[in-house]
Amino acid sequence: MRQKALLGLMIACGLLVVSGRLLAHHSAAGLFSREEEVVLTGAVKVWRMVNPHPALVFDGKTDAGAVETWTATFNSVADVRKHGWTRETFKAGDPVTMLGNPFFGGQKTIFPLVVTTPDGKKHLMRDPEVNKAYAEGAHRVQ
Amino acid sequence: MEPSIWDWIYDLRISQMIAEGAWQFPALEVIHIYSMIFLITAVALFDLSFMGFSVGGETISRAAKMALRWTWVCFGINAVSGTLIFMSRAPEYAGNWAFQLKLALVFVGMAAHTIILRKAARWETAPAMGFGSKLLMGGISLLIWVGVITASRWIAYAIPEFL
Repeated sequence: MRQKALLGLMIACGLLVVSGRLLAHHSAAGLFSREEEVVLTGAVKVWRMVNPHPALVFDGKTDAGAVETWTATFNSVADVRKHGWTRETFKAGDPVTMLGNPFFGGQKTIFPLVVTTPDGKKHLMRDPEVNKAYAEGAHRVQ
Repeated sequence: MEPSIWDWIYDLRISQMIAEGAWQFPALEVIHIYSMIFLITAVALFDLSFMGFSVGGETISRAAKMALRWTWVCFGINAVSGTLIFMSRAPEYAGNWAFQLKLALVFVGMAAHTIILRKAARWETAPAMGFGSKLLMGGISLLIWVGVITASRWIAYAIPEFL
Protein backbone atom coordinates (compact mmCIF):
# COMPACT_ATOMS: atom_id res chain seq x y z
CA MET A 1 0.00 0.00 0.00
CA ARG A 2 2.75 2.35 1.07
CA GLN A 3 4.78 1.45 -2.04
CA LYS A 4 1.77 2.13 -4.28
CA ALA A 5 1.24 5.52 -2.65
CA LEU A 6 4.91 6.37 -3.14
CA LEU A 7 4.79 5.35 -6.80
CA GLY A 8 1.60 7.38 -7.33
CA LEU A 9 3.19 10.43 -5.74
CA MET A 10 6.30 10.11 -7.92
CA ILE A 11 4.24 9.82 -11.11
CA ALA A 12 2.08 12.80 -10.13
CA CYS A 13 5.17 14.93 -9.43
CA GLY A 14 6.68 13.85 -12.73
CA LEU A 15 3.59 14.71 -14.74
CA LEU A 16 3.29 18.11 -13.10
CA VAL A 17 6.91 19.05 -13.69
CA VAL A 18 7.22 17.77 -17.24
CA SER A 19 3.86 18.82 -18.68
CA GLY A 20 4.91 22.42 -19.21
CA ARG A 21 8.17 21.40 -20.82
CA LEU A 22 6.48 19.02 -23.24
CA LEU A 23 4.00 21.65 -24.37
CA ALA A 24 6.66 24.20 -25.18
CA HIS A 25 10.41 23.81 -25.23
CA HIS A 26 10.73 27.56 -25.61
CA SER A 27 9.90 30.19 -28.15
CA ALA A 28 12.65 32.30 -29.68
CA ALA A 29 10.25 35.26 -29.78
CA GLY A 30 11.37 36.80 -26.48
CA LEU A 31 15.06 36.29 -27.16
CA PHE A 32 15.74 38.53 -30.14
CA SER A 33 14.53 41.75 -31.69
CA ARG A 34 12.56 41.56 -34.94
CA GLU A 35 13.16 45.28 -35.40
CA GLU A 36 16.92 44.98 -35.41
CA GLU A 37 18.99 43.37 -38.13
CA VAL A 38 22.65 42.70 -38.57
CA VAL A 39 24.70 41.49 -41.54
CA LEU A 40 27.83 39.50 -40.77
CA THR A 41 30.38 38.17 -43.22
CA GLY A 42 33.14 35.91 -42.08
CA ALA A 43 34.68 32.49 -41.63
CA VAL A 44 33.17 29.43 -40.01
CA LYS A 45 34.72 28.18 -36.77
CA VAL A 46 32.40 25.32 -35.73
CA TRP A 47 29.24 23.83 -37.25
CA ARG A 48 27.05 21.64 -35.08
CA MET A 49 24.08 19.99 -36.74
CA VAL A 50 22.58 18.82 -33.46
CA ASN A 51 19.34 18.59 -31.50
CA PRO A 52 17.64 20.58 -30.12
CA HIS A 53 19.09 23.53 -32.07
CA PRO A 54 21.82 23.41 -34.71
CA ALA A 55 24.47 26.10 -34.23
CA LEU A 56 27.11 27.77 -36.38
CA VAL A 57 29.94 29.58 -34.62
CA PHE A 58 31.81 32.00 -36.88
CA ASP A 59 34.03 35.06 -36.91
CA GLY A 60 31.78 37.70 -38.40
CA LYS A 61 32.74 41.12 -39.73
CA THR A 62 30.10 43.77 -39.21
CA ASP A 63 29.45 46.72 -41.53
CA ALA A 64 31.48 48.83 -39.12
CA GLY A 65 34.45 46.54 -39.78
CA ALA A 66 34.73 44.90 -36.37
CA VAL A 67 35.41 41.15 -36.32
CA GLU A 68 33.61 39.30 -33.52
CA THR A 69 32.80 35.69 -32.78
CA TRP A 70 29.09 35.10 -33.27
CA THR A 71 26.81 32.11 -32.92
CA ALA A 72 23.92 31.53 -35.29
CA THR A 73 21.23 29.38 -33.72
CA PHE A 74 18.70 27.59 -35.93
CA ASN A 75 15.20 26.22 -35.34
CA SER A 76 15.82 22.49 -35.63
CA VAL A 77 17.72 19.75 -37.42
CA ALA A 78 14.62 18.98 -39.50
CA ASP A 79 14.44 22.64 -40.51
CA VAL A 80 18.05 22.94 -41.75
CA ARG A 81 17.78 19.55 -43.44
CA LYS A 82 15.03 21.03 -45.67
CA HIS A 83 17.81 23.19 -47.13
CA GLY A 84 19.87 20.10 -47.88
CA TRP A 85 22.33 20.85 -45.09
CA THR A 86 24.35 18.07 -43.48
CA ARG A 87 27.22 17.81 -40.98
CA GLU A 88 29.55 18.51 -43.88
CA THR A 89 27.85 21.70 -45.17
CA PHE A 90 30.17 24.02 -43.24
CA LYS A 91 33.83 23.39 -42.48
CA ALA A 92 36.22 25.50 -40.41
CA GLY A 93 37.42 28.45 -42.50
CA ASP A 94 34.51 28.34 -44.99
CA PRO A 95 33.09 31.75 -45.96
CA VAL A 96 29.59 32.53 -44.73
CA THR A 97 27.31 35.55 -44.85
CA MET A 98 24.42 35.96 -42.52
CA LEU A 99 21.54 38.40 -42.24
CA GLY A 100 19.51 38.01 -39.08
CA ASN A 101 18.10 39.37 -35.86
CA PRO A 102 20.55 39.73 -33.00
CA PHE A 103 19.61 38.55 -29.52
CA PHE A 104 18.85 41.00 -26.74
CA GLY A 105 21.41 42.09 -24.18
CA GLY A 106 24.38 42.51 -26.49
CA GLN A 107 24.79 38.76 -26.76
CA LYS A 108 26.70 37.78 -29.91
CA THR A 109 23.98 35.41 -31.06
CA ILE A 110 21.98 35.77 -34.25
CA PHE A 111 18.68 34.19 -35.32
CA PRO A 112 19.26 33.99 -39.09
CA LEU A 113 16.88 35.29 -41.74
CA VAL A 114 19.10 34.71 -44.80
CA VAL A 115 22.25 32.58 -44.89
CA THR A 116 24.69 32.45 -47.80
CA THR A 117 26.41 29.06 -47.69
CA PRO A 118 29.98 28.41 -48.93
CA ASP A 119 28.62 27.32 -52.34
CA GLY A 120 27.20 30.84 -52.78
CA LYS A 121 23.56 29.77 -52.39
CA LYS A 122 21.17 31.99 -50.40
CA HIS A 123 18.86 30.23 -47.93
CA LEU A 124 15.75 31.84 -46.44
CA MET A 125 15.53 30.42 -42.92
CA ARG A 126 12.20 31.53 -41.46
CA ASP A 127 8.52 30.76 -41.91
CA PRO A 128 7.04 31.13 -45.45
CA GLU A 129 5.57 34.59 -44.83
CA VAL A 130 8.83 36.11 -43.56
CA ASN A 131 10.81 34.28 -46.24
CA LYS A 132 8.58 35.70 -48.97
CA ALA A 133 9.09 39.24 -47.66
CA TYR A 134 12.85 38.78 -47.53
CA ALA A 135 12.95 37.18 -50.98
CA GLU A 136 11.34 40.40 -52.19
CA GLY A 137 14.04 42.45 -50.50
CA ALA A 138 12.34 43.48 -47.27
CA HIS A 139 15.65 43.93 -45.43
CA ARG A 140 16.04 46.78 -43.04
CA VAL A 141 19.79 46.49 -43.51
CA GLN A 142 20.79 47.01 -47.16
CA MET B 1 44.05 21.87 -34.11
CA GLU B 2 44.15 18.18 -33.15
CA PRO B 3 40.72 16.60 -32.62
CA SER B 4 40.09 15.88 -28.93
CA ILE B 5 38.51 12.80 -27.38
CA TRP B 6 35.26 14.80 -27.22
CA ASP B 7 35.39 15.33 -31.02
CA TRP B 8 35.94 11.60 -31.44
CA ILE B 9 32.87 10.84 -29.30
CA TYR B 10 30.82 13.46 -31.21
CA ASP B 11 31.71 11.75 -34.52
CA LEU B 12 30.64 8.25 -33.43
CA ARG B 13 27.73 6.78 -35.39
CA ILE B 14 25.53 6.51 -32.29
CA SER B 15 26.26 10.14 -31.36
CA GLN B 16 25.26 11.27 -34.86
CA MET B 17 22.01 9.30 -34.64
CA ILE B 18 21.08 11.09 -31.40
CA ALA B 19 22.30 14.49 -32.60
CA GLU B 20 20.42 14.40 -35.91
CA GLY B 21 17.59 11.89 -35.42
CA ALA B 22 13.97 12.96 -35.33
CA TRP B 23 12.96 11.00 -32.21
CA GLN B 24 16.10 9.80 -30.42
CA PHE B 25 17.01 13.08 -28.70
CA PRO B 26 13.47 13.95 -27.51
CA ALA B 27 12.95 10.37 -26.29
CA LEU B 28 16.21 10.42 -24.34
CA GLU B 29 15.39 13.86 -22.95
CA VAL B 30 12.02 12.62 -21.63
CA ILE B 31 13.62 9.51 -20.07
CA HIS B 32 16.39 11.64 -18.56
CA ILE B 33 14.01 14.18 -17.06
CA TYR B 34 11.58 11.58 -15.67
CA SER B 35 14.32 9.44 -14.13
CA MET B 36 15.77 12.59 -12.52
CA ILE B 37 12.34 13.47 -11.10
CA PHE B 38 11.86 9.94 -9.69
CA LEU B 39 15.41 9.91 -8.32
CA ILE B 40 15.01 13.23 -6.52
CA THR B 41 11.53 12.32 -5.27
CA ALA B 42 12.91 9.12 -3.71
CA VAL B 43 15.79 11.06 -2.14
CA ALA B 44 13.52 13.84 -0.88
CA LEU B 45 10.95 11.44 0.62
CA PHE B 46 13.70 9.74 2.60
CA ASP B 47 15.29 13.03 3.64
CA LEU B 48 11.95 14.29 4.93
CA SER B 49 11.39 11.05 6.89
CA PHE B 50 14.91 11.31 8.28
CA MET B 51 14.25 14.89 9.36
CA GLY B 52 11.11 13.79 11.18
CA PHE B 53 8.50 14.76 8.59
CA SER B 54 7.43 11.25 7.63
CA VAL B 55 4.21 11.07 5.62
CA GLY B 56 3.07 7.55 6.51
CA GLY B 57 4.73 6.99 9.87
CA GLU B 58 7.34 4.77 8.23
CA THR B 59 10.42 3.87 10.30
CA ILE B 60 13.68 5.36 9.02
CA SER B 61 15.20 1.94 8.35
CA ARG B 62 12.24 0.85 6.19
CA ALA B 63 12.19 4.20 4.37
CA ALA B 64 15.95 3.86 3.79
CA LYS B 65 15.61 0.36 2.33
CA MET B 66 12.98 1.52 -0.13
CA ALA B 67 14.81 4.75 -1.00
CA LEU B 68 18.08 2.91 -1.64
CA ARG B 69 16.46 0.61 -4.20
CA TRP B 70 14.57 3.39 -6.00
CA THR B 71 17.53 5.74 -5.92
CA TRP B 72 19.92 3.33 -7.66
CA VAL B 73 17.36 2.15 -10.26
CA CYS B 74 16.54 5.76 -11.18
CA PHE B 75 20.20 6.78 -11.10
CA GLY B 76 21.12 3.95 -13.50
CA ILE B 77 18.46 5.00 -16.03
CA ASN B 78 19.40 8.65 -15.60
CA ALA B 79 23.13 8.01 -16.06
CA VAL B 80 22.66 5.96 -19.25
CA SER B 81 20.26 8.47 -20.87
CA GLY B 82 22.48 11.36 -19.77
CA THR B 83 25.59 9.76 -21.24
CA LEU B 84 23.85 9.29 -24.59
CA ILE B 85 22.68 12.93 -24.62
CA PHE B 86 26.24 14.02 -23.71
CA MET B 87 27.67 12.04 -26.65
CA SER B 88 25.51 13.93 -29.14
CA ARG B 89 27.40 17.14 -28.35
CA ALA B 90 30.38 16.08 -26.31
CA PRO B 91 32.80 18.96 -27.13
CA GLU B 92 30.41 21.63 -25.85
CA TYR B 93 29.06 19.71 -22.85
CA ALA B 94 32.58 18.80 -21.70
CA GLY B 95 33.57 22.47 -21.52
CA ASN B 96 30.29 23.70 -20.03
CA TRP B 97 30.77 24.86 -16.43
CA ALA B 98 27.13 24.20 -15.48
CA PHE B 99 27.43 20.63 -16.76
CA GLN B 100 30.66 20.11 -14.78
CA LEU B 101 28.99 21.54 -11.65
CA LYS B 102 25.99 19.22 -12.16
CA LEU B 103 28.23 16.14 -12.39
CA ALA B 104 30.12 17.17 -9.25
CA LEU B 105 26.86 17.73 -7.33
CA VAL B 106 25.38 14.40 -8.51
CA PHE B 107 28.56 12.62 -7.37
CA VAL B 108 28.50 14.30 -3.94
CA GLY B 109 24.72 13.78 -3.62
CA MET B 110 24.83 10.08 -4.50
CA ALA B 111 27.88 9.41 -2.28
CA ALA B 112 26.38 11.25 0.70
CA HIS B 113 23.01 9.62 0.26
CA THR B 114 24.39 6.11 -0.04
CA ILE B 115 26.32 6.60 3.21
CA ILE B 116 23.26 8.04 4.98
CA LEU B 117 20.96 5.29 3.71
CA ARG B 118 23.34 2.51 4.73
CA LYS B 119 23.77 3.95 8.23
CA ALA B 120 20.13 4.96 8.68
CA ALA B 121 19.15 1.83 10.65
CA ARG B 122 21.98 2.39 13.14
CA TRP B 123 21.10 6.05 13.61
CA GLU B 124 17.47 5.14 14.21
CA THR B 125 18.35 3.41 17.45
CA ALA B 126 21.16 5.77 18.44
CA PRO B 127 19.70 8.44 20.71
CA ALA B 128 22.90 10.45 20.29
CA MET B 129 21.76 11.89 17.00
CA GLY B 130 19.54 14.80 17.82
CA PHE B 131 16.82 16.46 15.81
CA GLY B 132 19.15 19.32 14.86
CA SER B 133 21.75 17.01 13.37
CA LYS B 134 19.13 15.12 11.36
CA LEU B 135 17.63 18.40 10.17
CA LEU B 136 21.06 19.60 9.07
CA MET B 137 21.97 16.38 7.23
CA GLY B 138 18.61 16.10 5.50
CA GLY B 139 18.65 19.80 4.65
CA ILE B 140 22.12 19.62 3.08
CA SER B 141 21.07 16.60 1.02
CA LEU B 142 17.95 18.41 -0.24
CA LEU B 143 20.03 21.49 -1.08
CA ILE B 144 22.50 19.40 -3.10
CA TRP B 145 19.66 18.02 -5.23
CA VAL B 146 18.09 21.44 -5.70
CA GLY B 147 21.56 22.42 -6.93
CA VAL B 148 21.54 19.49 -9.38
CA ILE B 149 18.22 20.66 -10.86
CA THR B 150 19.41 24.28 -11.10
CA ALA B 151 22.74 23.32 -12.71
CA SER B 152 20.92 21.01 -15.15
CA ARG B 153 18.70 23.83 -16.33
CA TRP B 154 21.64 26.24 -16.45
CA ILE B 155 23.54 24.08 -18.96
CA ALA B 156 21.46 25.65 -21.73
CA TYR B 157 22.43 29.17 -20.68
CA ALA B 158 26.07 28.62 -19.74
CA ILE B 159 27.17 29.10 -23.34
CA PRO B 160 25.06 30.88 -25.96
CA GLU B 161 25.14 28.21 -28.67
CA PHE B 162 23.09 25.91 -26.45
CA LEU B 163 19.98 28.06 -26.69
